Amino acid sequence: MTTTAPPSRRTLRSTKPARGARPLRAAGAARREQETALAEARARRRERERRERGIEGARRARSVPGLVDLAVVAVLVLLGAVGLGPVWGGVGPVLAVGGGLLLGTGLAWLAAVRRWGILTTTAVTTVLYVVLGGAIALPHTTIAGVVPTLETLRGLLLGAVTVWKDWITAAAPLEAFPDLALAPFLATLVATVTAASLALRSRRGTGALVPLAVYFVLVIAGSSVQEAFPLVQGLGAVVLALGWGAWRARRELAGPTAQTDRDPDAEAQRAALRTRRTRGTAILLGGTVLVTAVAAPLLAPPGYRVVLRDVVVPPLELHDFSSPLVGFRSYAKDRAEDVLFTVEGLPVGERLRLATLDAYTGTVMDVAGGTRGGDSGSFRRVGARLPAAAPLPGTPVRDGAEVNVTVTVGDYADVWLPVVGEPTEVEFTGARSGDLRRGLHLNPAGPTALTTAGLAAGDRYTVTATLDTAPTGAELGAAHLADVALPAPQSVPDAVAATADRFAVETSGALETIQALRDGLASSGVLSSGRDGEPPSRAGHGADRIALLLGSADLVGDDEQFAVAMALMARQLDIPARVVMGFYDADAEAAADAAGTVPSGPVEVRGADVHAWVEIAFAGIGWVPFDPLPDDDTPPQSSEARSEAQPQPQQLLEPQPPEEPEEPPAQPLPEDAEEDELETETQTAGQWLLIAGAVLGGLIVLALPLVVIAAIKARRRARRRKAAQQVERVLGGWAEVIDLGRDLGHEPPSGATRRETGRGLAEHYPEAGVTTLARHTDAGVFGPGEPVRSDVDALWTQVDDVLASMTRSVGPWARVRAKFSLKSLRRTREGKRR
Amino acid sequence: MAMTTEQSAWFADTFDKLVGNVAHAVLGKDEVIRLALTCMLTRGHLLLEDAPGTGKTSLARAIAATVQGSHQRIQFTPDLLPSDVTGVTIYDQASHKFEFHPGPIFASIVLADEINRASPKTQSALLEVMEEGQVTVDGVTHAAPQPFMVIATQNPIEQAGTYRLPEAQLDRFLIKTSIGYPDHASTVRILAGAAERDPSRSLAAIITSQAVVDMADLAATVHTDDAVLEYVSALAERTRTAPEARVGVSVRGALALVRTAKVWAAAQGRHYVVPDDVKDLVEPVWNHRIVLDAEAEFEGTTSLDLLGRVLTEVPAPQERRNVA
Repeated sequence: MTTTAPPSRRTLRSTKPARGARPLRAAGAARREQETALAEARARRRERERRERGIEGARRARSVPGLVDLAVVAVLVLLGAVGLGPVWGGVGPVLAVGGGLLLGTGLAWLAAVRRWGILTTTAVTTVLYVVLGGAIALPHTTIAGVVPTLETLRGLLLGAVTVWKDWITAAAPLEAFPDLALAPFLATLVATVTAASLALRSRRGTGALVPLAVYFVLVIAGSSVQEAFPLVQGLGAVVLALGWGAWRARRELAGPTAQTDRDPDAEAQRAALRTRRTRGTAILLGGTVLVTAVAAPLLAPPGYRVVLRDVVVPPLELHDFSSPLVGFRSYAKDRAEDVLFTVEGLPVGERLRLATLDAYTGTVMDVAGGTRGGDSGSFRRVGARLPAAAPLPGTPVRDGAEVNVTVTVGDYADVWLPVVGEPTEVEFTGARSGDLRRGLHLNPAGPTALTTAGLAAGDRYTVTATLDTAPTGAELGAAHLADVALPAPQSVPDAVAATADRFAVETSGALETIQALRDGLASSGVLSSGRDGEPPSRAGHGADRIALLLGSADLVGDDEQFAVAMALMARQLDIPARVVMGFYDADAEAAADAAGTVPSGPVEVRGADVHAWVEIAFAGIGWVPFDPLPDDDTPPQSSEARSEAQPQPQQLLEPQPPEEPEEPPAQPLPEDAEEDELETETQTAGQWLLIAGAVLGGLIVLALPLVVIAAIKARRRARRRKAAQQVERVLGGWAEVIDLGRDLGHEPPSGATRRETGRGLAEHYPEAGVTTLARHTDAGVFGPGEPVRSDVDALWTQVDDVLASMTRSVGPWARVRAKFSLKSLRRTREGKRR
Repeated sequence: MAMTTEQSAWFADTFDKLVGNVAHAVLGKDEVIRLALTCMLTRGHLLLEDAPGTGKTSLARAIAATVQGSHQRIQFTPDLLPSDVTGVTIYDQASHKFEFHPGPIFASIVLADEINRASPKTQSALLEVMEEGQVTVDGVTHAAPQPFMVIATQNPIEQAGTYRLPEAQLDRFLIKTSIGYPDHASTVRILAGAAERDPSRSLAAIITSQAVVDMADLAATVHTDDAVLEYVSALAERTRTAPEARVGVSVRGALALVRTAKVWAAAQGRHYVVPDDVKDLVEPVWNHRIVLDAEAEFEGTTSLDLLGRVLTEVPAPQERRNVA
């Protein structure tokens, strides 16, 4: 029995247990409370810091320095945008750039004042882009220039993905493509919002120069070879950026020190240092400018400029269109009387060019250009105003008479667009003008044009063109052949070389050789398109047909065969030659006195007017046409005499290629309405596929980061599951659970034991069995010896269950968010957890 | 030789039985009972500090009754002499010899009631025995029996008529804890059993002294990973470097924590120590070993606050340290 003395009054008063001697359970709870309090305090501090940064941004946005920041960003953006002038034409896309700039600075300012986060700012930017983008960048699609239509939305959303490619592949000036204003608008908007936000809200602010630099690079890459005001742009941007950066840095430094340190000595010292530093920087900058000014012209020749549009191959797939020369006989024979076009304003003797062909494949003479590049040129998408034709290197651009030729399409359906001279402008009228204009491509080396929409009866267009004056014989005689890189002809029959040698046996000089070839063909040939009453003449210009032409006693054929034969012979003799297909009235051309005058009324162009001729490139002159045509009335010579003079056994012929089609199948005949319709259908289907592809591609690009995140996480789990050491595997299993918890938004308390962490998670996921897993993990980790493999396998099964249960217990949105959350990844990098 | 899973299971089972037995006398205080029994199996001494009437003596008596063996109770009063504790040598006139009459300290479980009411001299005598496990009287050494455990109780130090135990002597106690008032349900049950004067008297001994010694030996074989040892060491260092602490936790304190953690782990059926064991025990084992700075004390900081802060600051180990 205790014999305690009766408690004194004082004892009674303090019957409460003394502090520091609380019962264990209460103390444990207190400790946990303290832990949570500490964690909360940390979170509060982080939150406070973030808020302070936000407040700082808001304060800055309202102050004069903030306005200076915005002004600097705006001026830098404008300096960059100046570079768009030449490629756009005129003063550049003023509305798009200006609108983007105003919208961007306004947004950034508002976001800073309202303290929006990145997500909110992005969302608001996107919404404003969709709402105001139509009025600013695509006003032609809107109602009254303001109200967006469905087309506007489609343009804005799809355009954000596709406009860049269109910008690069369209030929300058881009003014002709109002849709393309979206690119400068979007680029300016994004650059401005990013740069202005960084300038206002980040501590140093100079991070804003990064998006601005990207903007500069974008503008330069998207511009044309012509530069705007490179000196003003470059110098202005560098000086402004440096000055602003220095100003910001100074203010940043001056803030705290100015108040704490008022020692006059130190002040003077600092001033001296500042002067020295300023002087040093000035010398350094001056030196750089000097060296650049001296060295730049030496290193890069003037006018040398690499821009994207010169590198990117336009996406037109010429192989989709068959060579028009294949359909030559169809025009000449079957549709001789059909009116293909009605032409107004075409001077007598001028030729309509349909296509320029310089690539002989052995079966067909193919269209110049496409992906082969070189001097064949390439087809580029153009607006109504065409870029200047590309003359041969070294050829002066000659001024000629300007003509306006209006063509109304009759019984003609193909993509090739007949043009005249050197076209400077093409204007479509009529119902399909929009489609035709959008599909308009020009190969300046031809110059020839096509429209992917395809011409059809009823289409109407006006070509404004410059006509070249024909060179005189003397000029040609004095001229040298131009050095032109053309695709090498393939599978040329031997007869070509033999005949070329025979015709040009005693010639000197390029012109004489060419004339010898022409005259040789003209004098010994018989013109026949195989019409009724004419000698039989096979269609086509494949290797066997050319061999047949040159090998037979009578050279029977028409323009198609003669032109190809002459071009091939010329190429055999290293003369740059190509075949041109077009239309002209041979009779009118012959009537020399009328040449050059413009007939008053419309002229009908019929199938019989189709012709093919040869063009030879002369240095300093350009491509000069030659007609290797026999006169119509040349009588067929006796086959005996021919065969004696030129014994050409049939056996020497090239082996017959299998089944050369007599009639070109690719030429869609107007009668084939069904087929035509089918083609349009497939075409629209193709367009839809293209759109779907573009959207899908955009989505894939957007989803790519998510895929990468998921892949990294999957790899991490696999690595943890398959770790070499069993203890590592045990730890990895637990780390998986912790990481999932993190991704779901439950950051584990720092410094806590595994069981405590598990208990914390169990509060959110009572079903998952996290505490049990924590116990088992502890056993593996802190138990003696290496854990047994089977136990660890069982543990991983448990881990999988826990993970599944945790994932199940949250909503689908949270699940997706967790799957792609970066929280756990970030933590792995910071704290080298496995 | 490390403890096996079966041994740990037996240990935990036995431990639970002991707890259950003691709990008959001290209702609703399982945590404190576990702590007290852990103390016993670590061969340490227990200091119960609480207000009068919270069941300190009941607990001590219940533990003593549970273990089969000798137990004594010393009521400390201001006039208690050291020889009243250790025993005296008396001249036997019959045999003409000095004979040693062992004091109440020579028992397996000694209940030192209200230890802070005795004079420091007597307190020291008791604490010396606790530390040495033996008594030397007139040049003759008498060993204390095995197991030897002192359960001391004291009233809160601010109370009148008490002598505060010096820090160095507090350090001799392995665990210092308090019981606190029972919860509502337990109180009702206690009141319902008011007819029984002292339930601890009716308790049957369910374990022999030898079994207690065996269990203590077994608990010492619990595996402790180096990571846990490092954790204990880091915690101890942090208490020493803390600005509020005048004296931090000594090596003896750290050692005591590890030993206690082993028993604590075994009592839960584990043959290995986890950081949670350490966390659970830091407070009862270390609280009385920390001496606060006067200034911090004045500001109202307690050693409990300090330990709480240290526990949150030192991250618990997650991974095993490579044991060669």
